[in-house]
Amino acid sequence: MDPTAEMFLRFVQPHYQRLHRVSRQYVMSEEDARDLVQETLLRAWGVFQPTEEKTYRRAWLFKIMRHIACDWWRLQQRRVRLTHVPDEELTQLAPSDLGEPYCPLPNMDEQQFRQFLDDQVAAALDRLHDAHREVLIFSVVGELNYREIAGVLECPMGTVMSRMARARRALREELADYARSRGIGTGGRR
Amino acid sequence: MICSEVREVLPAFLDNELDAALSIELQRHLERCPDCAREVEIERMIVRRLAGKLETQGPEVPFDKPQLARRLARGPVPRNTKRRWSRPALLKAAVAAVILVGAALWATLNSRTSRPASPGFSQVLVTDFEHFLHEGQALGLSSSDRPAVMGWLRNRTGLNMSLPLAIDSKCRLLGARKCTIEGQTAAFVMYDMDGVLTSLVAVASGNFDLGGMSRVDRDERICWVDRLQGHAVVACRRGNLLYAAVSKLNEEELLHFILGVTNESH
Repeated sequence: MDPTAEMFLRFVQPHYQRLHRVSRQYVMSEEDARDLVQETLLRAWGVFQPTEEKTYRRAWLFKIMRHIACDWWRLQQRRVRLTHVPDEELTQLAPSDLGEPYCPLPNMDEQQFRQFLDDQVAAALDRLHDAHREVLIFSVVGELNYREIAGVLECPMGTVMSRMARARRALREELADYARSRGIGTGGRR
Repeated sequence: MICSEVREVLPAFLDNELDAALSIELQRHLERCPDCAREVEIERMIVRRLAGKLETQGPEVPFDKPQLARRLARGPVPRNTKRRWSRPALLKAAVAAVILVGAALWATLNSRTSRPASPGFSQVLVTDFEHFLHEGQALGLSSSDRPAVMGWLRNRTGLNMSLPLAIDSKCRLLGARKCTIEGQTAAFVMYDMDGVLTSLVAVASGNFDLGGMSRVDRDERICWVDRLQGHAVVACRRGNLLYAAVSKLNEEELLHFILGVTNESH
């Protein structure tokens, strides 16, 4: 095998499963998710130039993947779930006071709560604003830290911090709304 | 630390992003505040369960190193292989082909004024365009609002670039970024032309020689065309700026596009 390809694949291997997991959050089908990973790797490979000075990091792969997904969305080539959010739309996201108490969840015992989350947490994530969903996906599925997410999204780290805080609150509100609408729990504070 | 302060920094604490001093302070608060401790527990459980759900949503894809190495060796799939042509697009392409043949004949007849294409300005543009597409670089501003993009570019680059009015509904402005072309500040604008990404670049006119490109006269204006690595490159000077477009569209479509640059800011 070409030694540069060997080096590239050695770099990719530890992140391979994570790339697939994140790719599934961007597109609608497993086939498209695999294509997204493949195209990400091909694009990364196209510019991979290993030198002592240049260190490639996993966030770079996610950044390329995000750009490809944005391209697919813009060109409507594939059904992309996570759309590109224009800057002006992000500034319109309702600011919330992050010091306010969290939205209370209806009262459930431990077992009920676990079951409720298993049933509903992924659906609640799907209902979030794309900008919120995206930071949660990079954090929870991609296991990226805030600095890496800021690199992928090409925004300041402070933006990631506030978006993450709002995303967590929004997820909690979605879960609480769902539980209330279905009469799950007794409405007490959890 | 009081409860509202804890809530403000709680996400960063849960994601291990809080600095050590604040983290210790927060943990001390949790030891004496059962409400906040409960919030931490709930938040942790939500994220744990979410991670568990999302990680098992699809099958594990084996890391097949030999297969991946073979795929890398074959190189990238050409960008347009999956593009489906609609009937109007095919008709448009046929008309464009006829125009192109005409243009080629015209260019041959006027060969005394034309010069052979050679690398130079157009090569720099194509390389930059390819680099932009393949490295997954971002636009500095993603917007289809023409006046907003022009204003943004004016602020960022100092260049009073005018953008063509949309030639049809299939020509969509995607956004812009500031870049440099051979050390000169340039404005780079990206369009989606019926599924084909097309860049429009503007630089200060005096700094570039178009000698390597072929001259074509259109609508009483002098334009320059070239074809490199499957891309058409078209350039024209307007006011004190040099405009150049790069795309996999044919030269005629690109000429039509670039001549749409209006005089409003020149």
